[in-house]
Amino acid sequence: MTDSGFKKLVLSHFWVAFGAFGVASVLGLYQVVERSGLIPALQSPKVYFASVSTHGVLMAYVLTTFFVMGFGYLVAVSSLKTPLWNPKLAWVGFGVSAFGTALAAIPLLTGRGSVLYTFYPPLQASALLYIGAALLVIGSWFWCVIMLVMYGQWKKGHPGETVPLPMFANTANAILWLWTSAGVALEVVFQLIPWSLGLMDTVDVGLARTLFAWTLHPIVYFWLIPAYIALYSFVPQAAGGKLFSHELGRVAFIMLLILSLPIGFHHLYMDPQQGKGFKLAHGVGTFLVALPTLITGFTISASLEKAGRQAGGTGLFGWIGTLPWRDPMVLAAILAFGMLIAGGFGGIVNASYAMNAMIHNTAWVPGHFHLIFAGTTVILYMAIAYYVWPSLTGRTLVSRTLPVIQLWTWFIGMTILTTPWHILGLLGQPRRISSVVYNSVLTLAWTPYELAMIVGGAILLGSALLFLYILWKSQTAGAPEANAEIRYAGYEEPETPVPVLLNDFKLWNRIILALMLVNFGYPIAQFFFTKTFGSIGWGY
Amino acid sequence: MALPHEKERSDSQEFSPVGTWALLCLIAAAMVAAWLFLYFGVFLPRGTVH
Repeated sequence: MTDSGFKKLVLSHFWVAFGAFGVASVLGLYQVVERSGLIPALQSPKVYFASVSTHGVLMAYVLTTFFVMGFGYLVAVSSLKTPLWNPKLAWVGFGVSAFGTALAAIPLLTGRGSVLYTFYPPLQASALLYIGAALLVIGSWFWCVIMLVMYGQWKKGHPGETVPLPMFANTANAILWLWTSAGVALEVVFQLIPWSLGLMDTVDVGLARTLFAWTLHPIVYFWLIPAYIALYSFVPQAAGGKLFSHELGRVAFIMLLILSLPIGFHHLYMDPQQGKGFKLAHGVGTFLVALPTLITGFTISASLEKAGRQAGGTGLFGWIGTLPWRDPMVLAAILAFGMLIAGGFGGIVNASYAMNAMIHNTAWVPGHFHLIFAGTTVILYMAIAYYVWPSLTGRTLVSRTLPVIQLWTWFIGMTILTTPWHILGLLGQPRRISSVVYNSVLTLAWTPYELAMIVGGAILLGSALLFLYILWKSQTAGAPEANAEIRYAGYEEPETPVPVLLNDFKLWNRIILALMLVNFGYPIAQFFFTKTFGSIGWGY
Repeated sequence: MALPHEKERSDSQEFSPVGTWALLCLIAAAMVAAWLFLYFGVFLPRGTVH
């Protein structure tokens, strides 16, 4: 690790991320209790939707963006073994994002930003929410620039050499985020901000939803790539083995970059403003983006199998039992795969053009994305924090057992929370609803599942608080550990360079541009040469 | 003498992750079965929209 100033930068990002996570976890428990109707005094649609919007923004934008930035800086410096380029710019990015977050918090906490985290018009929030969100994203673009410059400088200084896999993935994520965030940035800057300021009377809802669909799927991979970096770079090392294949990892990250972008219309299957041909094209792409995840599953499982067999595991599955299940990184990876498989199945159902009608806008959908995001992604964020904390703080974790308990409770809580959620979706419960004030056979059938979700939410909140306690206690009272370094999995610099296409992004950027033009060009252009009608706002 | 990367590649080629293949096949089979159940057992019996 480098100087204390750099560690302070990374820790600042992590603490903003995890602070937001803590607040959002409290709101999560309130929401499942409110929705169940168990405590009538808590029932308030106004408070509920303010809470859901805040929970969504904190989890999906604040936790993720700050974590990705902090972890990205750490990966760049530790894997390239070079100082951070322009730390002042990194602090400016942090400040812009933090200011944007504070600005967005004002309407969210005062009930003037209850438009959920998807910002879908004609729901209209205070302009402060949109301006704050825009600043949060703009701050993250500073991070993208720094990552791209460091990647470029390293390549220039090491001609013909292979970029270390963690930094290659990190750079792919920075490029992905620049492409991804452009859609929502266009929507916010040219539609939502002028509209919410009263400069425009109406908003074109179809165009807004199309632009948001541009962002809405690849953003999931922006969140997920740090988790995948941990899988490829930390897990094999923590399991006592080596990565099965560096090349497969590079292929997976390139596929994530290319295939996650032109597929967002699976969020618009039921929307009338896009034709079924484009929806089908995006649907096919949605199935294709499962491939890099399959490659990742295979590569990491093979790495674990090799480690498990080296530890004495025999037979077809005997290696699983010999893995170090008490290591937080290995445990988190195994639990993450469990949730990814279940959540991935839900995603296949969502993407199935016909079956989507069955679960569209039902409780199934938040059940699905909680498994993928709050399950798979966040549990690996936690494991990453445990892994890097000693090198960032210079102190060991206060306990070796508590992180294991914390990860297990997160997995158990998430399972108890999301299983009933999926069932409720199949029973017909719409998503985005507060508690119901009428009793019918239909809604009474929801009750046992909603009560089970409270148990899941309570376990998750306990696990979240335990996570924060472990980090804080370790930072302030852990035993000093002066020489802790971030160790990457079996990373020997390849003497034989990998193919140029697995070490560079120029061609892939051109392919992305072509795919985006094909899949989004006409669907967006149509709003400018056909007559469409705007909507007035439905606001606070 | 084999270069480090070549040795790593050679090690990987000698190691055959049969357990991983078996695990992935089981998971894939379970997912296909679950999808077929949802499609034929839940979705189609609900019929058309009235």
